[in-house]
Amino acid sequence: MNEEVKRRYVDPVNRNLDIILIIVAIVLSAAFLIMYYQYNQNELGKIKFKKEEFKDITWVSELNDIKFNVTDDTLSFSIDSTIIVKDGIYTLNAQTGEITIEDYEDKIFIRAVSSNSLTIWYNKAEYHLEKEKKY
Amino acid sequence: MLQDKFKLSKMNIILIILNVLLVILVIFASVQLITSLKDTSHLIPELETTAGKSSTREADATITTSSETTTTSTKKQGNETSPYYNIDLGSILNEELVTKHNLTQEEKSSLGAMYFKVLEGIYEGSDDDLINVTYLLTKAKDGEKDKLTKNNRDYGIVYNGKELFNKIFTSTSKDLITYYKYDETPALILNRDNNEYYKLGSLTGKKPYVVTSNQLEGIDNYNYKYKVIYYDADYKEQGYKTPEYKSSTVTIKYNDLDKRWKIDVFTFPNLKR
Repeated sequence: MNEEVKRRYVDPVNRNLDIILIIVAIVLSAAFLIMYYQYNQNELGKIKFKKEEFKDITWVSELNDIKFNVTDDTLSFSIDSTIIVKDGIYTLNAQTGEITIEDYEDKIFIRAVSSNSLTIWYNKAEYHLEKEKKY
Repeated sequence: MLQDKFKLSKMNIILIILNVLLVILVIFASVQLITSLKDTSHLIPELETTAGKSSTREADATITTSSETTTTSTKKQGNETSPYYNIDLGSILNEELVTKHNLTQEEKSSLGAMYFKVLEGIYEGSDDDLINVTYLLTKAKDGEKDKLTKNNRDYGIVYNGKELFNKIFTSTSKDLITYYKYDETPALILNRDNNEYYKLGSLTGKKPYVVTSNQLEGIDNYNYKYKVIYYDADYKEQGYKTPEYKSSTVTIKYNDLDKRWKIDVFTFPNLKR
């Protein structure tokens, strides 16, 4: 056997081991991808409230004289013409709907969002708001 | 001896390292997945509520209620249990289906059809199978708690209404069920005096319906939509003109706390919110 042939020669045991290891690697990769996909889907399923669905809209309730408005970063909220929060910096928990406002102890919760209505919870009361009509 | 001669090649070593890394990744992913599945912190919290009243208005409401309660107590001669019609929850809700989390497409369709029929019974009233308000209103006498007149319209009490609605509606949608109106009149009202639900006496004309098609839109294991197209079965000119098709969509959601599928959002063609 000359040098070139020797260099290219692969022991059959090594080759078989390579094949087994490649098969195991493929199975492990598939298992990882499936688990990652399931995890991703499960996490996405937990997101119930997206800011995009209700931001930059003034939501009102004529019944309770409520105004509720959020932008990307700030929130304004008034009941019976009393301003509860004005341009407060807030964070939204997209999974539970909990809104935490900087320097403000009380919590506001988003309960339901549809294209025309928004339900919020504040101070042991739930309010059903509609988009402000523009005349 | 083979063992004496055998020596791992470079490729063997590279593949072994790759496999070790993949095993670590799989273990990490499985831990993450199990943690994610067990995590319940994302659930929408159950919040104490006074159903749309602000705290400042509660005081007014209490005064009104107390005076009306006094009036009611003097007239209280109606039966405490249903004299006319009780909703048999056991016969209308298939508990096995409602509480099973992982539903097949067929089961999702059956559950959708069941909930659509319940909603139809509550809101469209094509028959009196579910809530026989027609019969109740013909028998109930003025002053009995079974009948309530509001804005010149007669409403009949929905016996077991709270129990039924708690079982089939999510907490959010339950707060909205009295917002649906038929001809500008609420189809269902909650009487604050006795905390009972009342249904409008005459709704859409008591026509049976025929479902022509239904469709499922699966979102995930926690939500799906059941869309149904139907028409009134006694359509007068059936065969000569196309029946008036109606469509309704019911969004059904799995509630982790109650371990039940519940109605989250729904639409009916004759009702407006």
